[in-house]
Amino acid sequence: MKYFLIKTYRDIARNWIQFLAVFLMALLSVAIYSGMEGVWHGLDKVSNLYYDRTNIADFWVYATNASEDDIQDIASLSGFEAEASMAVNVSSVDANDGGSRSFLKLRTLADGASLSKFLLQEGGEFSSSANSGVWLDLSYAEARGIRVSDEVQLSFMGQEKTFKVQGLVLGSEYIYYTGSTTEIVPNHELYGYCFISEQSAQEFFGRLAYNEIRVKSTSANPDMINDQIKAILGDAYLDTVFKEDVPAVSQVTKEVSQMQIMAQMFSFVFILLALLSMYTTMSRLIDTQRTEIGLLKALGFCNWSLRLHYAAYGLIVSATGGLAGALVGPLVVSPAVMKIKKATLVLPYWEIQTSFITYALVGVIVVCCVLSCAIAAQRSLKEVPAVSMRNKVPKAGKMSLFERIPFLWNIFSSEWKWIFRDISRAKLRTAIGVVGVAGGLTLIVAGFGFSDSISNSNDYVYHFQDGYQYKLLLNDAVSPEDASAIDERSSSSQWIMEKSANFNKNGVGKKGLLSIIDQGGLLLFEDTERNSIELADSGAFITRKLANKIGVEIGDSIQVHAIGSQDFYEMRIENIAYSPSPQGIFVTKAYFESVGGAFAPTSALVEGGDNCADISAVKESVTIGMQEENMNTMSKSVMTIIRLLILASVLLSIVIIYNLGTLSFVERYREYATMKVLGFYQNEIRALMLRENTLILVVGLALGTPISIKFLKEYIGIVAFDSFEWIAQINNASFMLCAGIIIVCSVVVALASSRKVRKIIMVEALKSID
Amino acid sequence: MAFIELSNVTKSYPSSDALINALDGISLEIEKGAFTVILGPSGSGKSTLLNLIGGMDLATSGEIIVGGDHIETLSQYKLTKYRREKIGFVFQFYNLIPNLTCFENVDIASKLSANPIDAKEVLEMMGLQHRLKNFPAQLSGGEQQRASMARALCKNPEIMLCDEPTGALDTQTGNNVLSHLQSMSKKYEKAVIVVTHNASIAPAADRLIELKDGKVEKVKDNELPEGISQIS
Repeated sequence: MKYFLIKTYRDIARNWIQFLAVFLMALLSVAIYSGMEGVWHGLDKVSNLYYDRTNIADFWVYATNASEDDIQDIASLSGFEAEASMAVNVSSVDANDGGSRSFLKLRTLADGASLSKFLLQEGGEFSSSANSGVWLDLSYAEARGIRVSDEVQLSFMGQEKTFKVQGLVLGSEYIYYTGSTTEIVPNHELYGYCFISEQSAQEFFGRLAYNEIRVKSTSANPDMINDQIKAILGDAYLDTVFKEDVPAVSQVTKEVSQMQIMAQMFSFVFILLALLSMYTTMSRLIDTQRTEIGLLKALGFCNWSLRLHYAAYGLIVSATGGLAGALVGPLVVSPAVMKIKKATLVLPYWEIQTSFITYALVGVIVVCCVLSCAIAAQRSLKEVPAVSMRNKVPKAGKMSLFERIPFLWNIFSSEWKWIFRDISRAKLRTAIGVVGVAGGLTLIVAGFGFSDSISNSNDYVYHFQDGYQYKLLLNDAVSPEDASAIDERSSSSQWIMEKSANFNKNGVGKKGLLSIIDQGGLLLFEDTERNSIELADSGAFITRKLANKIGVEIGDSIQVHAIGSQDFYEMRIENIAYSPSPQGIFVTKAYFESVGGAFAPTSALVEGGDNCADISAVKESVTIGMQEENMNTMSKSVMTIIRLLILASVLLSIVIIYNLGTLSFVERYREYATMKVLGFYQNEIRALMLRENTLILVVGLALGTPISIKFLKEYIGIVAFDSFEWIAQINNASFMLCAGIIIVCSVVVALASSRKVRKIIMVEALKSID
Repeated sequence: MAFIELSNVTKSYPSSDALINALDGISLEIEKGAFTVILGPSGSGKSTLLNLIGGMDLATSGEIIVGGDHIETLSQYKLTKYRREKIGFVFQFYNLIPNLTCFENVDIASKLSANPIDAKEVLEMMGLQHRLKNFPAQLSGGEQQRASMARALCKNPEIMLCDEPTGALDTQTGNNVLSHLQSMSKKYEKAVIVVTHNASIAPAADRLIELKDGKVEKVKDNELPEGISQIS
């Protein structure tokens, strides 16, 4: 056994390139998967713990003004806990920052409140007494430089009050909190949240108007509880939102599943390629040990000990590679991915945690490698020692397929004929070469295509569809004076009402944005064939992705429920719009009113004026550039992962191509040596090798092109966020770049392998063979 | 001056504590059109000598002059050119390219030469006209060796170097192969050098060179060499 170990060590040292290739493939495959898994698994675990520690509600019931009696009646029901609070949007003026305004979601907390509690990060515990101050969002406080004991001035409908900051907190309801429909990425400097006691609220607002009831079911069915609460609230009832639809939960779920799908789809192709290549490498490596196997058998070693000895090759290299990957992934890949996730999600702490799947993956890779070694060894073990101790006879030549078509066959020079014959002789090696090129192209196209799809979709939305300069977010009430001031200060304006809504057809529902548009030409639409279409007063446009999700076609009618209200509308779909964002439906003001809606603008789109920030009805003014920037920040979170995957794909392609080049060289070593003796120049032999490589490259690219486009479409369709349709496409220049990367890798690697021709020792190579 | 002239040629291989001389100061001459047989036991340096003349290996010291050119001074590129134009090699184990048919194996070599002999003509001369489209694996050992000789000859080289060409063949087939080699030297005026440890073919050689322990032990010229068929 000792000598077997020494032999293994020396064999690895002698064939270190092949072993290194297998090691790297195992390492890369596991590192990519475990790195991504570390983040999504950790995020899933920490967020769930966070929900538990803060005792997040199961659902939220919204009401206009629930009375004390209603709350008492609800509390007397059994099977659940319920807590009412008042939640309003207030603004804060920072005198130290030139009077800049920021916006806070204020929520009251009753004495002993236990649902959706906050976690105190700094300062004092919550106190329900009057004048007890405010407990402020930690991220908001950090972004604005506010510390415990500082004072903040809050304003609500003309009433102002100064609060002392008692503590800095984090709330699980605000893991993902943007504060505005125009913001996709949290802007902590502008939007935050805070908690005050009911007594403080009464002093500030003059009265307590409960409009949110948090419910935690303990035994009863949530739907039944909801029905009971609805019955008690009567006309005061507005809407119910379940936990899975709350952004704090749904965004985490989406991001976790996005990363999961992204890693799994990518890893599937990646690992498949790596396993194929590992199998070939290991089995060819063992093939070269054929004479040694014969010799060891002749010395009296039994088949089992030899089988174990060769299986150990696969075990050592794949296990060290796989485990190194499991170590490198969380150390290198996870922090890079996590850094980006921190830009959108706020958690009390972050954790990288891999699951057993990472180790199961290492197990699969090890088993594949060990089996390929054992199977390869088995071929030689079956032979009697006298046969296996002699060098293997090269595979006999075979007629290639083309030879059966003489007029075609005769077109080719003898060098090409030779190459075709070699391909038909070494089908597996060639097939793996083709799969390696096609697979590499697929992965790289997925990477670059992703980038193009995001950037083209963003370009469409912000440079074609949305033709305005500013989007003005309006306060609830807009006076006629303010409205005319906005119209007068811009060359063109368009009033728009946006509501979150549920769209439902035959029981299949999806959340989206209902956009009601007044007259003006600042929003442009195209149908799915990219023909220009005009929104008319006779029906709605639905975005393509939403239409596909709920199975809507032109001419269908759908039910629209504006979230947070009891308003339901029946709308007829007049066309399907290409618009990638926002996902939802668009109707004209006239059509909305004709189906029973009341138009109350929430935003004004303006072009050719100033930002109108000084007009009192304008809550906030954002430029189209800021909106695009927001979207780009969101996209960056995906792009970082994509860049990582592209890098891994390029590395994998290089390893596969180099490895196959080496295998091909080893297999044809004797032929090349004969050519050298016959008087072929080194360049002529290298040209022959490069031609074969080129053929594999061309076939791989031809096969990989449709596969990569199809993979890109599927990949983007699965990975994209619900609110934005990234339209799968890859620009010609990017595709050429992808193909170029593969070609350059392949040619450089082929040139590097063909340099080995120089090192062929003719005398040694031609010594003995049967 | 002889066509091939070796003067004080040494080929040494480093060992752990000393140099091992595979060839130890050899000097000899070989003429064009002569059928030369190099005899010697295993380890006597026969194959090393052949490799040096063929430009497949480099001498440690001494001079090798072929057709007036000093082989030991040639660059790798020029050595390849030398092998391409002047040398035809016949191996013990044929070394045909398994992927090419019998004809293609010969034809690919003929394309390397500026003045080749027609591949079909040479194959016909070797009695392989009915095997043109067969792959090496479909040929017998003797047929493979004849194809290998055809490949060497079709380049129309000045020197044919044959390393144990009958080593893997039965006696009758081996003699058939040797007979072809002997007639080539006469018909095409080639310097045919055959390395072997089979002393029975010695009477067929124009010049017999015997090696032992890396040194020339005996050189004998036959005024009237016998035909291979006569000695078998």
